[in-house]
Formats: sequence, structure tokens, C-alpha cells
Amino acid sequence: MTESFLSTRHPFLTEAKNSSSAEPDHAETPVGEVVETSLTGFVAHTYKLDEPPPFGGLVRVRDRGGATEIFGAVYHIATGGLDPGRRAATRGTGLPAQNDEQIYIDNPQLARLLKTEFGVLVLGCSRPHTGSRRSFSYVFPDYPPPLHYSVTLCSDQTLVEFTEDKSYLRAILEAPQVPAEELIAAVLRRATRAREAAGRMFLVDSLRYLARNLKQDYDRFKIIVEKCEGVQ
Amino acid sequence: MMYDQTRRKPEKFLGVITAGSLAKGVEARIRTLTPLEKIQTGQFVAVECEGVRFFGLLTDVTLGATSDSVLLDPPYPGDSGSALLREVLHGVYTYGDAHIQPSLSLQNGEDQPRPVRSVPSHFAPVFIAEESDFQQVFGLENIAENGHKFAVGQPLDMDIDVCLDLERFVERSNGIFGKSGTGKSVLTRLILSGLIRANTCSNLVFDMHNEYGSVTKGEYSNQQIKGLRDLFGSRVMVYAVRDRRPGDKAREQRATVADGDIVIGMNHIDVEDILLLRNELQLNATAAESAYILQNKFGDRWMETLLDMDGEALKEFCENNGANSNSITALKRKLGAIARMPFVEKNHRSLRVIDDMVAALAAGRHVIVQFGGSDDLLSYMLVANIITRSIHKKYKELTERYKRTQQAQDEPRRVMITIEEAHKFLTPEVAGQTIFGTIAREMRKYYVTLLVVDQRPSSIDSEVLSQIGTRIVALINDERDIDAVFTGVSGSAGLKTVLASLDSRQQALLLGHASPMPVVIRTRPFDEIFYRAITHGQSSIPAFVRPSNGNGHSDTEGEDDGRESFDEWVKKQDEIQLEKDKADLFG
Ligand SMILES: Nc1ncnc2c1ncn2[C@@H]1O[C@H](COP(=O)(O)OP(=O)(O)OP(=O)(O)O)[C@@H](O)[C@H]1O
Ligand SMILES: [Mg+2]
Repeated sequence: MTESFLSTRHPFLTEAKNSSSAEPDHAETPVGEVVETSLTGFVAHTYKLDEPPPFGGLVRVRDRGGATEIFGAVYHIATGGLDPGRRAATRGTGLPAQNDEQIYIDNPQLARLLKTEFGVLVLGCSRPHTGSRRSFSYVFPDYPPPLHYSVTLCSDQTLVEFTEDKSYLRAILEAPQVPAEELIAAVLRRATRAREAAGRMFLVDSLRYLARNLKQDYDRFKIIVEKCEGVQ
Repeated sequence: MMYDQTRRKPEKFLGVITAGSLAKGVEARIRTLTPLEKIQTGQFVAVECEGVRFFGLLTDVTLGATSDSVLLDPPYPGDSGSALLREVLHGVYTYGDAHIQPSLSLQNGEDQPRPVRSVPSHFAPVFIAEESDFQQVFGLENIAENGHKFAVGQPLDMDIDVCLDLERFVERSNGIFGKSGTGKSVLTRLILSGLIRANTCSNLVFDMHNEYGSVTKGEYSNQQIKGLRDLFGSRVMVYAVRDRRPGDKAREQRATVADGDIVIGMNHIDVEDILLLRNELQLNATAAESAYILQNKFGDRWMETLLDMDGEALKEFCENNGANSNSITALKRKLGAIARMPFVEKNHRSLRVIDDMVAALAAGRHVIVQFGGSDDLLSYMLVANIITRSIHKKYKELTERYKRTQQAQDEPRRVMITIEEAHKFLTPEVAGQTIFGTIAREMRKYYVTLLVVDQRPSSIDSEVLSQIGTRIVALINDERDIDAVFTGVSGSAGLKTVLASLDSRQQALLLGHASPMPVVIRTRPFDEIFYRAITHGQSSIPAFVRPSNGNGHSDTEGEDDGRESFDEWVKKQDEIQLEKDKADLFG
């Protein structure tokens, strides 16, 4: 169930993700490049077609000085024609025996004609290292992430550290034009799983934090809780 | 004693203060992670403020919700996400508020808590009390070291002593209440043991059910509950109301050996005594009036004379004195029941045995009056009233003498009178006229106070109840009794819920003069461990001998046996004192 919603999109990603999370932080591999940027969020293209970071995944981009990293959550993923004016056309046979994946093998040029992009909501940045532990501040960075800088999917370890403080949840709640309930639930599910046995406690604490911030909106809160039920 | 807020254990944290007032108590929002079902009423709590620590009692927990929509659409078991929802709603959308009645405050730098005059401020953290809090408030038991702090039990959830201040206890009349079987009599025995050991007062116990003197069987299997005589030997004297007439062989000899038999002459039965028995004898108001007419006419021979009258004499008396002949006849018939009691003698008698008892009490001994084991309310009330009346009279004399001389050695020894079924003596109808009512109201002025033990406090006169200093209350269910127990107690609303939540045995709520603040206890077990502790290091003392002679105790001799009465003894002491004063004045 861990990767259920990803594996329907892309059968190969499971493997890739597992191998990266087992490695230490410094070996995390870049997944995309910033192509549109602002303080509150940015858009990136993946290096490989259809290999974006997952919805709700935590990603980071270095700033121009190199001392600070900017963190955000993936809230949008889309694949389409590289040329905005042109849409993809059908290439399959429509026969019941068809293997969908065969289309990509038969048309290798697709990888050049199509692109996958993902949108990231900025949630905070890391302060310059003090000692061995990284510390985060849940405010906007001074400058937006630079164009063409690489975007890296964070390891479980970093995800755990970043979500220890619950302030990032409020940034999601207040962000316009993101599917906030879905995004929160997705981040919480990932962060809960990453904590293994301690996950349940984390989940309850996080939801309580949300409850305090949604005192006037019980219905919205209830939707989030329902989306988190059954994680682990 | 300085205190340090940070030393408190995080798991004792309960919540923070959010609202309230001194009169009504304060509210604390319970910390999110404490499951409400773990929080018990009756718990002792501490509130930490800037420079002040408050102590109080948790009296209630209320449930609340911040938003109506939660309650309109609550998570039902089985709904998707309902388990998680319930868990995360608690503490934010839904919450518990603890109601706390603050009683004491301790200023930083002081070591004695004082009654509260302020409330803790907003968001002051509240903690479940720890051992050190109990020590700070209730002190440590020290009666084995000649102190007056006596451990009467332990809090519900901790193994630490809760102490009663026995010196303060004897300053006023006290009450032990609770419904039948809750442990009142054992608790009374426990407290009497403490009083005897600490030697803070002399005790006179009217032992209606024959349970205070010697060993009785408890309700648990094989439980032997020792009597005070067993524990304290000759410090405790046992007098028994005579339960057979001389020469009456039909009756069994009493099992216990008593220091004296109590016999009462009719001349000592007052109209007041009869009035007390009004309900028991079913006398109406005119009968009482008639009794007064008789007493006015014949003085202390009124009863004897009435019982001797035949029909003729009765009629003549009524005609001459304007008494109602029907009611006099009824009165005569009813008094016949009293005359037939085995301890009532027609002959004029001295109150020698009673004088002995008073002398023993004044000399620091303790006296138990037994009633032959029969639960005869009539004789119990009659004898208790007569004895108490004469004690009151003697003590009035002693107190007045002390007022004159102001000599330390003349200060009367305090006496506390323990009465079971106290409401019989203290109903609103009789409390105004009887001696027990007088003692309860006059309080400590004459060095005599009451320890009332009762299961129906609602039948006790409210003026008497409001004079009670220390209350020890076991479970009571009856609303009126609960209200009665808290007569004259401020902030009692919360205490009522605490009282209702007590176990039906060996738990009690302690409040009043001798307890710095209200507290719920598990009563100290009255068992071998206690016997050893209470008698440890106590020296034995010789049998009591009356100050004026060594003839022992007997009441079968006639009026003039050569022994001076207590009155004579007091008079002589007065004369000796007078001589001394003269010598001091005139060299
Ligand atoms: N502190 C105690 N230590 C040991 N046993 C106790 C204690 N308190 C109560 N008990 C037990 O409870 C029983 C009932 O107690 P007790 O006779 O004191 O009740 P009561 O309130 O006086 O009842 P009643 O109103 O019928 O006189 C005792 O016989 C004893 O077995
Ligand atoms: Mg009893």
C-alpha cells in the first residue's frame, strides 16, 4: 500500500525511490530543475519523463549562496507536450491485448517531445548549519530558489526532521490554489510512515495541531482526518 | 521553605487555570494527553504561580466542546476515521475542565500555608499533589514524640500519611458522619486512640453498642477490633450501667469487668431528661407542662411522689394545681417504664459513681460508659443526659474557679464527650433545652466539647451543626444528610460531589478546624500494626484512685458512707486555695 497511488502512475518509480531512501542524505539524487520561480513556490521539470517526486513529497533546492536550502512540498504534477501549443495524440491500437508500456518502447522520441513538470509549495528553509544538526525555520527564504537549480527529493531522515515542528502545516492551510486537505494528508502519511513505530504519535500530535488551527472549521478538519485514517 | 516549580514531575501535570473565582473555585483546562477517565474527584492538587503555591481539592470534571458542529456530527464508532478523530479531537475541540476549590496558599519564603485570599492567575500550571505537598500541608505524625499530629489515613492514590492536628481537634466540638457500616465507630475508636495517646484531652464515651471498651468482632473474617481498654489499660476506665437489680439472679453477670456500676436515683431525673425522651415515650406537650408543675411543687422528689400517688391523690393534686388529670395520668404511666429500668432506684441517692467518673476525667483518665449490650435507646439517652448534666455542672464550677485563681494548675482538663446516635440528643426540638445542645453551643468555654457520631445528620439541629469544628464524613447518600453535613461550610458545592464519590467503606472526607484543608482519605486500618504503633513506648500507669480517699468504687452503700462527695472535695480545694491566696497577700 505504501506506494499505491504512485505505482498506478509509474511502475518503475517504486524501485528508484526505495533505493534512494536507503542511502544517506548526501547521496540523494536530483529529480528535476527549476523552470519557474517565486518566493511562495516554484515549478520544475523532471530530468526524466514521468519520474517526478511524489505528491506530498518533500523536496529541496539550494539558494544561490549555497548556505541555505529551500524546502517545499510537491502539490502538483503534470505531463504533457513540451510545446505548450501541442497536445499528445493517441498512439495505441485500442485492442484488448495491448500493453500500454509498449507504446513508450516503440516510440522512444516521446521522451524528447513530452515533459513532466511538478509544482512545489515553499514551506521553509534550513538555517546555516550549527553543529551537526540541521535546523529549520518555517518562513519564506530571502530570495526565491534560482532558476535552473536542481531539485532534490529529501530522504526519510530529512522528512522526519523537517516535520518535527508542526508550523509547516499552517503554511499549507493558508496557501491559495493548492489542494490543501489532500496535500496535508499526503505529507502526513509520508511523514508518519517514515517514523515507523513512532508514527502514530506523530500523526495524533500533528492532527491536534491542525485542530487548534481549524477551530472554526470542523468539517474541513474532519476531511483531513478521514484522509489520514488507516496510514501505516 | 523555598520551592522549586521545575522539580515537579511532568506526568503529574494536569492542566492550566483558565477561569474561576475565590468563592466558586477555579477551572483548569485539562492537559490534552491526560485521559479524563484517569482523573478522580477528591484529588489534592497544587497550582504553581509566580511566588505563590496554591493547594486545593479537585471537586469535579466537566466535559466541553469548542464547537457545536463537533457535537452535531460526533464521530460514531465504526465511522471512517472515528477512532483517530476521537483521539485527536480530545484536548482541542473537546476537552475536560477540572474544577478546583483552592484552600491554602504558600508564599515563597514562608513555610506555613495559609487560607487563601486570592486566586491563581490565568494559565498557572496545575499539578496532582506529590508527597512533599502533603507533608507541607498536613505535617508528619509525631504523637509518639509527644506531638499532636496524628495520622488518620492516606490519600486515595498515594502511600503517605494525612495528619489531623489533635490539639486543634479538641478545641471545638466535632462530628463523624456516614451511613451505616461505613466505619464511623472504628474511625471514632481510631481518633480516640490518638487523643488518648497524645493526651490532649480526657474522653468520656457513651458506648451504646458496647464496642469501645474491649475487643469486638469486625465484619471481615476473623477480624478482631481491640477496645480502648485493651490498648491503654488503666488509662481507660469502664463504667457500666447496672443491668440487673441486686439479688436478681435471673440475669447473667456481665462479661466485662467494670470499674463501677452506674445507678441513678429518681431524685436525679430531671424534667429535662424526660423532655429529651419525649419522642421515645410518646409524651405530648401538656405532659411536659404537667411535669414542670410537679417539679415546682415537689422539687427533686417529683417523680417519686407522682409514682406513689393513687387515683385519689392524683385527682386532688390536679384540682389544687390546675393540672390536666389525663395528661398527669399518662405521664405517670410512661414514667413507670423508667422506674422499672434496672439502674433506676426509687431511693434518694448520691451521684457518687458519677462524681468518681468526673474526678477521673479531671485527673486525665478516660471513661467509657457501657450499656449492658442491649440496644436500649431509652436508657442510653437517659443515662447519657444525666451524666453529662452533672459533668457540665462540675466543669462550670471548675472553670469559674480557674477564672478566679488564674493558676495554671487549676486550668480544667479538657473533656470530649463521644455520643453515638447523636441526633437523638440534638434534634431541633430538644437541642434548645438539653445539655448536649448547650455544650455544642457554648463550645469550649467550659472545657467540655462533643464528638458526635451519627448516621442521620439531617436530624441534628442546624445551629449545633454550624458549631462543629472538624467534620469527618464517610459516604452518605441521602440528600438532606449531605446538605446537613455541610451546614456552615463555605464552598461546599464541590465537596458534595466529592462526598458522593466515596467508597462505601473506610474512606472519608476530612474538613474543618483540625485539617488545614479538605482532603479525602482512606482511613487508617485499625489493626495489629496500628495497635503496636499507638502503644509503642507508652508507660503503664497505676489504677486510678480518687483524690480524696482510697475506698475503691462501690455504689451499693447508702448515702453516708463517710466519703466526701466531689462537691465537698472541690469546696475544700477552694478553701485551701483561699488560704494560700491570703498567705500570699498578707505574708
Ligand atoms: N479503619 C478500619 N480498620 C479496620 N476495619 C474497619 C475500619 N473501618 C471499618 N472497618 C470495618 O467495617 C466494619 C463496619 O465499621 P463500623 O462498625 O465502624 O461502621 P459504622 O459506620 O459505625 O456502622 P453503624 O452505623 O452500623 O454503627 C467494621 O466492623 C470493620 O470490619
Ligand atoms: Mg457504629
